[in-house]
Amino acid sequence: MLTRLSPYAFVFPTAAFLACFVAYPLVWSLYLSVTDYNLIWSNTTRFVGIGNYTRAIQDPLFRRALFNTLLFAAFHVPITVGLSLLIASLVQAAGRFGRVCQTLLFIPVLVPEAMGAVIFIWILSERFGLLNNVVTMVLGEPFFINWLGQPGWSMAAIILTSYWGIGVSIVLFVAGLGNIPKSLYEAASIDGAGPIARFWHITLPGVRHTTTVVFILSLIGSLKVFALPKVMTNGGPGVSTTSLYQWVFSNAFEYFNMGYACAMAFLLGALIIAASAPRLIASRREDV
Amino acid sequence: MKCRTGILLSVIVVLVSYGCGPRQTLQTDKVLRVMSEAWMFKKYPLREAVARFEANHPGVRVELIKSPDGSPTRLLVSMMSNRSDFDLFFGSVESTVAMWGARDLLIPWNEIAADRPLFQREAYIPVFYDLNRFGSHQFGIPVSAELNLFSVNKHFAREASLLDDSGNMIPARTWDDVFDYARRMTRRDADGNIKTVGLSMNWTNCSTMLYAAIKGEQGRIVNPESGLPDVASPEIRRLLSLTAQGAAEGITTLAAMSDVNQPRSDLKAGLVAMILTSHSRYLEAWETLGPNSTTIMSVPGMNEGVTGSTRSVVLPRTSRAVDLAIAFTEEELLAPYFTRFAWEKYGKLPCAIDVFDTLDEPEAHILLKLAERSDRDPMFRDDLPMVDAVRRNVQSFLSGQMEMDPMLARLESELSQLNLSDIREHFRSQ
Repeated sequence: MLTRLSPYAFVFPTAAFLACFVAYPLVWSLYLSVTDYNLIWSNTTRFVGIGNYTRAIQDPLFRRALFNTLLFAAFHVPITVGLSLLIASLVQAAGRFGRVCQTLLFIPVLVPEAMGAVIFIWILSERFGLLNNVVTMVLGEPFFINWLGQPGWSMAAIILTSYWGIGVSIVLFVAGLGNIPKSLYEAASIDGAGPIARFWHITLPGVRHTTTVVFILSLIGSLKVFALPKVMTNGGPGVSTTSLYQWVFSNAFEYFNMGYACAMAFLLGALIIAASAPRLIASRREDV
Repeated sequence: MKCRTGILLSVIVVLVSYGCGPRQTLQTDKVLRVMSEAWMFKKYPLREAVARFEANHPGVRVELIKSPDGSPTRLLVSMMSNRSDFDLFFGSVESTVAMWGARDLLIPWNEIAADRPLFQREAYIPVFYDLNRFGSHQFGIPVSAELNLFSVNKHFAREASLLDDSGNMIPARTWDDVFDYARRMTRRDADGNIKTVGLSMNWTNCSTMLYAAIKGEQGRIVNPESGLPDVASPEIRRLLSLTAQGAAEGITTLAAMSDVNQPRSDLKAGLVAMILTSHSRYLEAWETLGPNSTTIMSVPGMNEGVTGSTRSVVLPRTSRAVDLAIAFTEEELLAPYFTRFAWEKYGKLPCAIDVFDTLDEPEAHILLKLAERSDRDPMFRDDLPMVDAVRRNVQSFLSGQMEMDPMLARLESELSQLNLSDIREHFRSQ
């Protein structure tokens, strides 16, 4: 009896935690997503079926936010993967100096994203921003671009700022590169393989798992992008930088349309799963 | 062993139950917890108020608590869960008061302080007092107020001959005048490059800018026929087209579309000559530009009044020290020294009429006259969605993504899908 109960006793705290803070909110929000619940104004909650889901699909703002989010991901994910692999390779090749660089590149990760966004507001500010004033000094004539107030530039500014947190991917790649046996490179060199061939045939397959992890982490991160557009542009000018998560947040915690916000959150969750599943499945097939 | 497993399970269940349950801490009514936003600790003498109150009430301890980020929503959920995180909140704006009041989370002051003169309407500038009245409930007592006006750098205004003999701004009569002022105050170098921009408006809060335009000209915001803000009025069209032209010409900047603090930062840095935002920025700029370096100017059509908002004191139903909260409000937060400090240091307009008798600054009396002419701003049920819809669409026009007519048509269409009934009707029906 005791032997049978003991495992349950050990599992219970975790199970209780997951039940309280994962399963229950998930089920409750799924229920809310099929109602018209408004936190402030609803005295009664009306069942609306899939009404919130169809409303989201027809909502031009949802569609625009989805487009902005995908645009952000389209630039953020491949550049994060490629750039962090490149920097990690350089860091590893540079020996001790490389490790110093790795530490320096990791430091921005310790700064909260919202705080980083505020710093970049100051850097990119039109009149007193560091960037415009440095360019003014270099050119010797006034140079004032409203980086965050013009539709094209504002999205570019947010994408560039997002590489602030690339240090995590670099650290992962450095660890992945460290696991590739040096003997493989030595054998390839003896066989006459050049740097590009060695990178293509040894390094890339060697960091396959790390690439998958970095890809999925940056994909999820970019589809959930929130703090940067919220703090830097508040989604503007107009809706040119409004992200999907921001639109969910506004509906949930500013407009209190909890039912609609929950439906959009589930659609966003489905999108993240759908976007990351192919890479996961492909990675597993490669292992087999 | 069986017993041990049972005890282990029981302990876990108790701990989980305790962790998930409402927080209950032992507290006597000799402790008063006053919550406020972090920036208010600097701009209002809250610490002095606590010291004075504790000295006058031996045995009482006052805790000052900084409100969490996103406090209106977080505290709303907290109060709805019957948690007691604070006994008194200082500095809430009307939209927060409405949000909390709608859920019956606030004690109306007129229910518990009906016999105290300092809490009565007669003691205040009526428009500010009424902003915090919902139905028959006086949920908030206003402490300070902000009006939306131009703050102008006198140096640039003087060079452009825009000051009268007394050193005051010659009021702009129309929006065309405003942009003419901006043009005259814009400074360029020998090559024609702009060094100082004439005008910066707060295009983060687009609805406030549009309200200022329409109210200045028409004396009202809501169209009496439709009951909705008249977003396609000629005044608003004129303001928007002048702004777009001015931005192209370089006499005004749209940088505030992404940074609400841009106008005040630029004014304080001497990079812009005139801003349209909360009036207190004019006094704030003295810190860097020097005393009397800036002044105020009303929006065109000043005889009709301007828009404004207040910071008020509210009492939550979950307060554990109601009597102390009333006493602290009466003795400290509504005391002349408290509001005078905020006025003298940071330009926050006192709401109590008596305090004005003690103010010497000419700007204070200009503001009082404007405030007395001001009508109460509308407060719609879907206020925030409406404010956001105005911001999105107006910014789309100003940043060149849309033409004026399609933008206004889309805005009116978006507004028509919102519930823009007067929020105060909700309380009347309660």
